[in-house]
Amino acid sequence: MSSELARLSIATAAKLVRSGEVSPTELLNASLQEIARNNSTLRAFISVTEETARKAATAAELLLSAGYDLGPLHGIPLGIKDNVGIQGQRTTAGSKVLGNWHPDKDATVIAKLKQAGSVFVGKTNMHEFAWGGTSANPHYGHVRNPWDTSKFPAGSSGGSGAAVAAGLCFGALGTDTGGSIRLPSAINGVVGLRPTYGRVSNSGIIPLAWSMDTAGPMTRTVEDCALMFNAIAGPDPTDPATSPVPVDDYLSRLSSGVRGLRIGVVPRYFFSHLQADVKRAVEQALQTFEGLGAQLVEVDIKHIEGNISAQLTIESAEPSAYHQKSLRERPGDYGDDVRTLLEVGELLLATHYLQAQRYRSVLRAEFIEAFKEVDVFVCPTLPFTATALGATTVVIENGVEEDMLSAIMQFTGVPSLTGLPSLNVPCGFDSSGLPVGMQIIGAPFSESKLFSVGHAFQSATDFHTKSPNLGSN
Amino acid sequence: MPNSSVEQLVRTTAEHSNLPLEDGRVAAVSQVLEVWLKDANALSAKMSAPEFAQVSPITGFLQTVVHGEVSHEQ
Repeated sequence: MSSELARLSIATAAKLVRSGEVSPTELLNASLQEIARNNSTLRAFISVTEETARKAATAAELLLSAGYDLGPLHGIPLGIKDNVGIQGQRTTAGSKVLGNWHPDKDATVIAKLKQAGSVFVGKTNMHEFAWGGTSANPHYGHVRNPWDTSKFPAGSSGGSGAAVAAGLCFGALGTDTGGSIRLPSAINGVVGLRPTYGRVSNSGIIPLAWSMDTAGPMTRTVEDCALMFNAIAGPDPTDPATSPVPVDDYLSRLSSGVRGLRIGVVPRYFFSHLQADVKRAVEQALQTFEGLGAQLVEVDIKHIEGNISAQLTIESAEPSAYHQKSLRERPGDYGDDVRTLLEVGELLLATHYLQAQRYRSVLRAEFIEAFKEVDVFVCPTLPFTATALGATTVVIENGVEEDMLSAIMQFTGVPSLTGLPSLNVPCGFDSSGLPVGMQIIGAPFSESKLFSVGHAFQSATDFHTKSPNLGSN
Repeated sequence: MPNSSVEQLVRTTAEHSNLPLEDGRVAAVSQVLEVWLKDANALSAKMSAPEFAQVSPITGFLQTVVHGEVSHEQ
């Protein structure tokens, strides 16, 4: 029963809490039981904050009994990526460098989730300082994929992805610079949103690359993702990059369907270099959309090539600026891979960085122009399914080994560079039973549309209802 | 195996940036940098084409009026 409870959607759990059939403490107990059962294998959480979670669950019950209903996240247990500061709780960013740091205030997203009544069960494991796509962590253990624990969970929000997929929490917060929400969402078979750049505050979150960083929800359903996004979206005076554009009610158009929707596809780039099982699953998803009344429109983005180099240049130069002091004073405290990337970022030319930032203007303008012809783009989230734990290379086609970092960001980097919102939705499985995800990319501030497209797909398919069976690993 | 000229570049730039890099680190960094530099140079060449002459970096910012410092009257 406890395991079933832990796997409920947030929307269903919220209804049960509201009707009095289940209490926040019972939901928390269900999550803590799954953590006790599986976290030593998955290494999804760096810290489990049972004591403060129990206090929060009790407070949620008292508020409800006194007639104060804070909304659908009231009493819902969530995991928080460990680069997001929670007042008084140890925050490591998956590194030894921060030592025993306890932030003296909440990140804005945490303050908003607290206002919504959420209960935080712990801080999730991640790639060190979010600078990598595998969540292979030399300090807190490599996060494992619950669908096959010999495989990686992708990253950098790998702990959040594994925890949500395995039922260790009902939803989680991740951060996404070059793909770090969408990649582990795809690889673990959950939903994850990279919001429009500036839609969610980064205040109180340890930065990776300021000009691309975002924070967003990771959940088991699109509806849950919209629920969480409702709580965290909006301007913040303490983050000057947040936008004053008014927020939507992100649930309001959830059931509006895809009839008449124009879906852009870019075959030349997104469907030309990927594993056959991934291609098949995403093409079948496109057929599903067509069956629901959407129209597929082939689009060419003339200057899409070059995006990987632009990402790597920006995503290495900006972190190297942030870490400049620590890299000189305590380089041995970084893991080898992240240390190497930070050192590389110190040595690129300023002109390389600026040309990459100019390239972003070109790529963004091409996508904005394309949105005159299409409503959303659909493509694979990444070109392969889960690969071996600790691997630094990956085979996509013809037995050729490719560098993991460049390969994994092939498709997620496009929204990252352009600042466009992108939603990962599970859309199938490969021949080994490992999840495949697709990205739905929209125009700036079109998150409501992405949710309605994703929800239409989940209403027509059952991929999101499948769960990993950890007992069989 | 990294090109020795890249290793020399890494060694010299690190030294003049006060970035401590022992020999083992120089090899690891050079191996990545050699590949990335080639791609970054290609992107720089692309962005130097005449069709992009008017393109600004995306990180420009929108100036806002500080109340009291600028007249709002036309």
